[in-house]
Amino acid sequence: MADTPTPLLPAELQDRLREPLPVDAARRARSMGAIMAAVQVLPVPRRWSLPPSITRWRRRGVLAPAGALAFGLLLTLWTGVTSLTDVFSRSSAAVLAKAEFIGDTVITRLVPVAEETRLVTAGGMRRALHDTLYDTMRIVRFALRAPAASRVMLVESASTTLPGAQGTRFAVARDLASGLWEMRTVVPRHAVADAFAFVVDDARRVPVRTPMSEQSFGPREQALADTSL
Amino acid sequence: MTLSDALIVRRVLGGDTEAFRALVERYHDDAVRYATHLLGCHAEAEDAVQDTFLRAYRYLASYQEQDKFRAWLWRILVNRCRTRLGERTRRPEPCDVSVITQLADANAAAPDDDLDRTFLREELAQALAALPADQREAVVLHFTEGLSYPEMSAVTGTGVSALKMRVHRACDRLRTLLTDVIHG
Repeated sequence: MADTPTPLLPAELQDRLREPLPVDAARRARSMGAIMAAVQVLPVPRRWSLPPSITRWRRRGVLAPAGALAFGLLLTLWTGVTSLTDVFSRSSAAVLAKAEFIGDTVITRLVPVAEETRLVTAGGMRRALHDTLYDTMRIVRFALRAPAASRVMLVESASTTLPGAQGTRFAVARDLASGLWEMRTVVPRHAVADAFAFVVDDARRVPVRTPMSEQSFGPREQALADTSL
Repeated sequence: MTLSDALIVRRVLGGDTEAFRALVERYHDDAVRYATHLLGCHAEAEDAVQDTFLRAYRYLASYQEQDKFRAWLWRILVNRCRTRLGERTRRPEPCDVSVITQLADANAAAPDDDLDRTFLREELAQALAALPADQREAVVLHFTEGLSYPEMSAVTGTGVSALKMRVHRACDRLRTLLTDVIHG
């Protein structure tokens, strides 16, 4: 009802406004009949309700479990199953690289150093940093047969090696059974063998030679130096 | 037993088209009275009411049960009346059969309705017709339909303070126009 206590209009006028109009029964029946006749030919109105997961999203801003599952499925189909597999494989490669040490130095978290590590090209996804490294770098196995040596270092001496790594010394591990000092590391693809040298017992320098090529490490990516030490 | 509006709506949505007749019978007369006061023409008011019920039926699924059905229906009715008033402004088609004549004819069938009341009703109809449409709408909703200002605001989409102002001005105008009738 009206919430204004003060009568703005005289009561008599208000009564006239409120009183029902005189009803012409025939006319009223005709009007209502016309309405119902028109209603009969219209389609029955239907109340379409949204699925519960959608309504929960609208109410609370969260998805129901079934809705979340459906959303995840849609997302998977949208991004592509192969892309997700690629991501998993690449993660595995990154873990391998992270676990690889040379002496006390971690090469890098993103550079796979094991030969068994495969390059995974992610279809439809942005290339990661180590993909780019694989394009320009390669893994080289350095080996020195020196059973009598007590300490062997690998020294980079040229500017063609890793940026910022000139003059770096890497400690090389020894296989006690075979007397082979061996290490694998990542070098620029076009680095020449002369850029590396072994330093034995902090005194002798043994240039790295390769029988396959004078300019590079060769297709086997292996540099082997032999010494009588 | 009288069924609630919400129950009837549920039945209609369930496919019982004939149940809609109960809603039409329940609100037809009030809707015609409102439209007649607003449009000043009984025939045009009936057309507007028919449009209103058809539109209400078509969009019945959008009615929320927590709302009053009458208020929801009146929102449609107010819009239909506004549309007709707008069309009348663009294409003036004077209603030949005025509400005064309509009421006078109808009153002939009511022998106990005295002449003074009939005369006052005619004068009131003329005074309402002289009001601006927005003021007429506000005063009819307030006094004829008995809606509160918040309810009027919900129906018309106009702010409460603006509605109060419209009702106040409309009443001033009506009192001025009907001074002779009231005090006579």
